[in-house]
Amino acid sequence: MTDSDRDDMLADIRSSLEIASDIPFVVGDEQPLENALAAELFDDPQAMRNRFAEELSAVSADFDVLDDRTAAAKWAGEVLTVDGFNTLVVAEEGLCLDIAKVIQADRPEIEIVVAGDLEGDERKNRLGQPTAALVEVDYALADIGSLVVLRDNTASMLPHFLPESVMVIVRPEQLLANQFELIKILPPDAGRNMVFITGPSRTADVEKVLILGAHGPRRVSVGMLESTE
Amino acid sequence: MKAAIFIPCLTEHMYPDSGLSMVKVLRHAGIEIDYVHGQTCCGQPAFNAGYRDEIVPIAERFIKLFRGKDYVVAPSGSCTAMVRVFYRELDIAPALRDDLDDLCGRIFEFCEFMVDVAKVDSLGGRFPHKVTYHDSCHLARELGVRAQPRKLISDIEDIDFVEMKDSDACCGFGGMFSAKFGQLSTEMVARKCENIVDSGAEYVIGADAGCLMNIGGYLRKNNLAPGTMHITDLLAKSLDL
Amino acid sequence: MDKTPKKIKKYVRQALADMAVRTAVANAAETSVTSRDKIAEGIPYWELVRQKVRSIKKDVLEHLDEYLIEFESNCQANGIEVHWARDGAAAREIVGKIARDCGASMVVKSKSLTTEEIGLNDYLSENGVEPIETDLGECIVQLLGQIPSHLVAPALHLSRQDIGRVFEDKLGVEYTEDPAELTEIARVHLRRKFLSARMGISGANFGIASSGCICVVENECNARLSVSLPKVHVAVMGIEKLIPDMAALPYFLKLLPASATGQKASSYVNIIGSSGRAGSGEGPSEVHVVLLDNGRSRILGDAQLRETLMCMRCGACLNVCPVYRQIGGHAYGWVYMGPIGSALIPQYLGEDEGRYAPSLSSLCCACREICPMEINIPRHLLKLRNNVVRAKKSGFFERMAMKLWAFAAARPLVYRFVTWFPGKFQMLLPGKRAFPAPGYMGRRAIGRFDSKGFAKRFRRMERKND
Repeated sequence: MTDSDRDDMLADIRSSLEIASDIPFVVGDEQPLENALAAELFDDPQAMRNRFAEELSAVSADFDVLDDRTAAAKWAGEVLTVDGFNTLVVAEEGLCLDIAKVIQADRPEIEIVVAGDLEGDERKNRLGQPTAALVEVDYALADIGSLVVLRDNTASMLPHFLPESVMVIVRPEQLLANQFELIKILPPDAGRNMVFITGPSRTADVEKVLILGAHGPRRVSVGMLESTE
Repeated sequence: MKAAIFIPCLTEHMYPDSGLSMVKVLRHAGIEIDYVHGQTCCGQPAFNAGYRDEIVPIAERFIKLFRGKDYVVAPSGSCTAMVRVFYRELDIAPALRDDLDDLCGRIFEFCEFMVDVAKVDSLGGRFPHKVTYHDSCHLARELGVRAQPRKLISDIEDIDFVEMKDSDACCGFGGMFSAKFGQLSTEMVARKCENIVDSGAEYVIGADAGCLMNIGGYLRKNNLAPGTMHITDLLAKSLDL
Repeated sequence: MDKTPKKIKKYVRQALADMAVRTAVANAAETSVTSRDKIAEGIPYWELVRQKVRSIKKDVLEHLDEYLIEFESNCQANGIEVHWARDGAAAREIVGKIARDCGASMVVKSKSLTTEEIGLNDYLSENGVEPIETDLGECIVQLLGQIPSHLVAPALHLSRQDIGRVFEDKLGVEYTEDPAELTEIARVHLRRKFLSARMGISGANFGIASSGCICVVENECNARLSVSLPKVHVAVMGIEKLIPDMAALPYFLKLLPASATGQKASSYVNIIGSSGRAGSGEGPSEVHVVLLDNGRSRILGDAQLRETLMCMRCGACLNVCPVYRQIGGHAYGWVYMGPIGSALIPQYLGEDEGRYAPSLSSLCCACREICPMEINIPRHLLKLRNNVVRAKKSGFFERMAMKLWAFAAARPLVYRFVTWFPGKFQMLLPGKRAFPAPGYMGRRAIGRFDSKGFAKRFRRMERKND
């Protein structure tokens, strides 16, 4: 049935398109827009970083600069304390797990959960409990304060979305000006499964009152990690 | 400079003084008036209600009537827009298509004619009152005329011109819309009149008789202070014509 | 849902009588426009982006068959199953079958007006599959058995007290009217559903032809969870939603969140281009896209009205519309409301059901000015009014009156004769009263006819001057 629908639909579309459009249309020069977008790029990395920090704040995300792993562990530990969580979720082995272990060394009561080590339903249900997470991303976008996660680069995306409090480690070289720049550098296949995250989840469905933390994270904290040492 | 005048049906039947004011003001600005007899209506009320075939004869007549006139000036953004923007949607006889294109380049609403075509500088009138201005939808959005009426008003000596909140919000007239959805339309004009009253103006100036009739109809029925004035009447009054 | 656009006049009367809803709608609309304006003013090249997305969409629509084939082929290469549904019934059956095949007795849904358009929820319920709306506004509206009242803010017409009461009633929780607490209640209630559902249904804001993926834009994270936690994800997408490639996406994303909710960016932009990786135990193992026609290819066949297919469902036209601000979305009687709704109703539902919808507008053109795609909605409403007249759905007396008047207006002598009467009749009215004309009998009066008219007065003035 669906095959004949396909043929019928394509036939209907083709016959509809035999009629030329009566849509007033101005053929514009592309150059002014390209120039305007080029003008949006940043003069220097510090300007871009400042903008990133501003935009994060505007979407109620926190921003800190972290010198190294030790600073990162201290920063994440503070967020855990403020939020009152004793469980820290990471996606897989790597930088975040290492930082989590540094925190745990000081605070043995902290439980580390590695999402990639859990299977199927157990992974979903464990991460579905109220927790905090420490994650990395692939890119960050300065003009609107977004974080970009490519699904295929991580063992699990659940730590980005299910926990209440998500702490994000961003490396300076990951910061780009905007989505236009991102699309330019993304390898074609890589962009097919990704998410742009801009601030915590939110809703204004009750009388247009803005509430942070709808179905996803309530708090997003971004730490720009200068050195991975 | 010579201009033929087109008198909208609301002006013809309800507010002829605005038409006379326009004649006086144009003459004062040194423009020779040509009144074409046998003019009736541009056809917009029926067109807006969805009737097209029925008004083709009206449109064709209009085109022929104003053939050969250097300029056609109408004290109405909606009539001007009807001709310039919407006549081309009609099944006009092919033989008249070129005439229509030509007419579209020659027909103007009064304010845009005064400022952009006749390039009249300050007329030199005086009107020591507080006024505000209502942007009619067709005039502002179909014809893009917003600055010209404001210039004409501001050039008047001693006038206190204040902008109201949402000056370009629709007054709710919309022709037949005001009859078909009367209560809704009344709510829209109530909002407009609230803004007019809040502006503190003694008069609300407009360039379209339909809007002014609608607004005035609410102001008067509810005993609100501000009065309505067509911009042609304002200019004529300021010049003591 | 038993609402029908044919009863628009009744719904408008009811809406005007409900001050609470009117105030909520007007305030929310005004705030949205103010926020949107602020962002637009901060982007000096906003108009250039508008022109760009318009030209992209025009190209897509004019080559829709080619783009659809490209989209299908690339989706399939990515392991996404593509289904074609000629109408709502076909789409419902496809979704129903997928639900049966995966044994889903409950599905989580993210906000999709396309699924409302085809009545998917009722169909699923009737076939043993419970659809759970997870967008907070949609969840509330679903619990009340209503349809959404705005393209982007479904529960705009409800107060916090209304919401508190329905949660207490339907979810068995303690009454609260605090927005944060209400959101928390929904979070806990729906989190359970996300974790246990076997299937998630979403719409799609865009389908990206050259990459074979879809894009779902949202703020609550409910779409993210709906499409990534269950084993099966089905996206229902109107065929007009395609864009050519990823490079086009940022242009649309520049305009969409600002126009829809006055945000520079929505919290989540989900790009979905394949099923989950095998063995990761995460993500759907099946992704389906249902390409919905349901009248779109027919609309495409009208050279002028095909422009209405450019709509991205941002809702900006609703927010700026002086009519919508007075009556809210339910008064239109269908899932698409406001200015674009008035244009879509007769096109999708026909001139009989849609006979009043195009007239629910004063043609002020504010919608056209704010529309990111520059869709000339007033022009389309005028054409649709003509369609209603041609289909003889415009009311006998109105037709006769218009024909009579048009006859007169083409003949100056007849015109003079016919228009002589009102001025004379008016003299029968006491005092300085005006006619009791329809629409002018309440808090507003129509103007008074002048006894002589311009032509006579002008002649007199000229004689005096000579």
